[in-house]
Amino acid sequence: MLFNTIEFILFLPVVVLLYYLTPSKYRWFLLLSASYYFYMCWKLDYILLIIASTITDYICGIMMSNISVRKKRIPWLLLSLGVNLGLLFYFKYFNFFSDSYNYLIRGSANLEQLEYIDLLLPVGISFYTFQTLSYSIDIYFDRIKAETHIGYFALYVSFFPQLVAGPIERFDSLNPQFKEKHKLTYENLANGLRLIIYGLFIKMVIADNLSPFVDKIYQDPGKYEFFTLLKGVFAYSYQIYSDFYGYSIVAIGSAMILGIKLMDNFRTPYLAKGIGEFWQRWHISLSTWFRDYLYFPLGGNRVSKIRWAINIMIVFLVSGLWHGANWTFIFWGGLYGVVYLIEHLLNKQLKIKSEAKPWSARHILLAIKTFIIVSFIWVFFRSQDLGSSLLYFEELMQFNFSKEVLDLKFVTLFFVLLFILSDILFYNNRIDKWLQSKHWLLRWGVYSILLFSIIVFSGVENFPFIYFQF
Amino acid sequence: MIKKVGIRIVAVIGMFFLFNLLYVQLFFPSDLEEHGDVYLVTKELPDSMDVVYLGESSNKSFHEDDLDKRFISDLIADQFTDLKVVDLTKEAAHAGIYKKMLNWIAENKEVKTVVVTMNMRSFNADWIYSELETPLQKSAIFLNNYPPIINRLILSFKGYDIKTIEERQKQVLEKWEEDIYTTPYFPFEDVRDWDRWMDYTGIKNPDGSRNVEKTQLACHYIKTFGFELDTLTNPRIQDFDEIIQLAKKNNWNLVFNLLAENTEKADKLVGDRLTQLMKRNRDILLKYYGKKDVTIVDNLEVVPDREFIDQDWTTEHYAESGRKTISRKVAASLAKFYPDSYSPKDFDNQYEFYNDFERENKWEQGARSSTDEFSFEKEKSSIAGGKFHYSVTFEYELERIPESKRKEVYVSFMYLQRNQSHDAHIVFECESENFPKQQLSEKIETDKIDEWVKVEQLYRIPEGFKDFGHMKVYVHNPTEEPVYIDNMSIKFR
Repeated sequence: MLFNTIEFILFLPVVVLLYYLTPSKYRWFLLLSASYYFYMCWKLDYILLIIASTITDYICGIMMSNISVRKKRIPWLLLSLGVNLGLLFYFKYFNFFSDSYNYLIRGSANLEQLEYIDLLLPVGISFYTFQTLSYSIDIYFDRIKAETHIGYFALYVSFFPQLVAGPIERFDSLNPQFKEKHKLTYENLANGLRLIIYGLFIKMVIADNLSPFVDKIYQDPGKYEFFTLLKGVFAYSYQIYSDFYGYSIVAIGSAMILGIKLMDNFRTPYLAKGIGEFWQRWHISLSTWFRDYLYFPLGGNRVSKIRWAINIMIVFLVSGLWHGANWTFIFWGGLYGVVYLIEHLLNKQLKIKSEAKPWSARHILLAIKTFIIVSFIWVFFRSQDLGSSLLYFEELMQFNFSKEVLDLKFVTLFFVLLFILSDILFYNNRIDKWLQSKHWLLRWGVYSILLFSIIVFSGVENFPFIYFQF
Repeated sequence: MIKKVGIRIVAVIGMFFLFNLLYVQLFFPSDLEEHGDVYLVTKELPDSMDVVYLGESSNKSFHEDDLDKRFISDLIADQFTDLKVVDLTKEAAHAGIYKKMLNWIAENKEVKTVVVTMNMRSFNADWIYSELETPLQKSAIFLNNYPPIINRLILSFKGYDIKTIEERQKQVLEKWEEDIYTTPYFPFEDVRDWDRWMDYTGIKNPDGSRNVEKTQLACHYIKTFGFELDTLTNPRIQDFDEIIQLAKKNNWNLVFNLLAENTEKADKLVGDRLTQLMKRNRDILLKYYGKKDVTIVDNLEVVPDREFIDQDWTTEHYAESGRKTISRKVAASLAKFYPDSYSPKDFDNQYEFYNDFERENKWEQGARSSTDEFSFEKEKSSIAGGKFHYSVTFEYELERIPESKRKEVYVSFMYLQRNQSHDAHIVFECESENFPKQQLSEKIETDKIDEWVKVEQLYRIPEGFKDFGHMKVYVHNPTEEPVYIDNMSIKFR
């Protein structure tokens, strides 16, 4: 079930109603059933993967918490990591691995080629796997206690608003909230709905209208002139941002109505002053996951400079691989690592302060610079393969102005500009909080525009959320 | 809190009323142009009609060489003297879409008899889960009898059977996998098995080499028609059943027009195992709908291979004679509802031609000089002058007319001029390989301005052109001042 469908528009109110009518101690059951139903609407069989992952981590968690000596917990930790990463590898990376392997051994008569497995990637597998991994690792390090109630634990793994595309929540943040006695408050309802409407607006009106434009250009970049290619680069930046941010805030809004607070996943990332800051504002739940479970265990910055640089590269490369089983994603991640290191080095050598007063000329210039860099790096992320991304740059570098011109629809351009403006308005803030303090006339004016735009100007083609594929 | 929320719900409902007003005024027409073609073709129907013929591309396809390019529905209309027969044609449509169209028609139009095209291919998984289904379903949304803003909301929130091409293909494969043949001693387990066998065996050329094209076509025939129709589970059957219910509810006469398939080619390529299956499915349909008292016209085997336009694919696109055969059978079945109006036509010996210019391809393809600026009776006429110097042109091979009728041509039409500063001529033109082009031209003269008048002209066919001559009749006006022609009639005698 997708957030931008009639099914979800009907599903959410029913769940909310039943949730508040159900006594607190049974609410986990209702939410778990709703979450499994939500997932099964996409594909019935793959719920078994979530259940397998849940049971494994539940048992491993209990077993680890019963063992006081950390070293003795290792087999259980390895079992948890093995099952989760094994499933992830099999479903997401096996074909990529076999393709690459087959390419490497081509021409060698002694080595057998690996077969391709015709599998549909389970939606959200990277998200819920990372969530369960963090649970097992946290228990191993005594940061949290294992959940003994399998229902609550299963709910932590599969809570429907954030099941398929995050935010990737930590157990100690989400699980206690399931046990609290929530009452439907007007504030939660209003703020939740504000987020849902805004999220749907940026997904359906902006991302889905940019999508056909971007698809056309990326399909055959050789056909278009310089400015069209340039528009394609920046249009994709806003497509992926509005797509993923839209999903995230609908998730946050839906959970909020149920009284559950999810972490922010985006904080106006395109207004970041540098690549480092960009990653503190973009897909925050993933960045912090990598920080806590990969970067810190590798030694973080408390190591030699060379080692630190290697750590940075590892984190970005793994982050790239997390996004997708394709060399483009690994290259994309690696490129971020390189750019991050260069930026760090330059700032240090030239003694450039990364701080700037909000909306000072310096802030604006730095934000534009960051946005341009990020946009060009997205080309690798969007392209089908590395060859296509290099072709895109090759075409751009030809500065050809005589080829075909492709223009964005005026309405789409208008809404993108509106989105940029709203990002500036909500800098370090969120629409729900921003609207809360405004006069009712302005609030209802905003609701009217958003609702009318969602209904009338939404893209009508089927564009699933981009991050579903990860 | 309940009061607070209640007030807001009322406000949102009010907002939707305003949205609807705004949407209808500003965006609805362009949305229909872009996303609502099924609605638009349905809406174009007249408010009241005797017979509505619902069809897909089979209704309007014709062969380039066809001299009579009329739709099947037009040919049916030709066989009833005073009935208003209109068509509702939408490419790739099927009972699921017809059902939606008819639901809308029931609420908004008046009709007495409904003819619904029944395409055997449409019962197959390949069509049921076709990738064309998503755009079709989308374009049918505006047929819902809801306020336009609600229909747009449904469109925006994908409130229809929306699936990607990959998902559709997967559905087809799953269905094929699921459908095991139940016929005793059938040598194949399912359609995939049969298809694989055909592909493996192949069709051979006389020299023993593999004929790739024919093998592929044979495989395609198997995948298209190699299914056992199950009236309990097939979704198309359910759609037709709902159409029957709807017809009963609205007191419509209902006729199902089971289209002809190329059984001859199926037999040649695959053998009688496939044609037996096709006939078995036909018999199931006849029996099933016979029990439900629906008139079902069985055309399955009436069109010979040569009359199928697409020789390298399975379609129901017929050349002139095929369309005429089907139209005759459908008209005969309608005769029981309209015995007094029924006047069966011997199309093979018909030498009178008529065009009201409402259809673009009635006489010639593309008919650019058709216009909706003026019309004598309906919506369109043909224009000559200004951008297009030639009106819609009637063309015919004289060899197709019996000698006794090749003496003269009587031409009549309705004519409108805005002033007299034009140079409109009615032209009769003959040409053949053995003779140079010969034109007889007569200036059209009338004093009437902005008023439709009848123009008549009689031509004697020149002696030399009675054999093998290619003949044209049109209005020529090389000036900037246009004239309009409607309801053109051409009679050989």
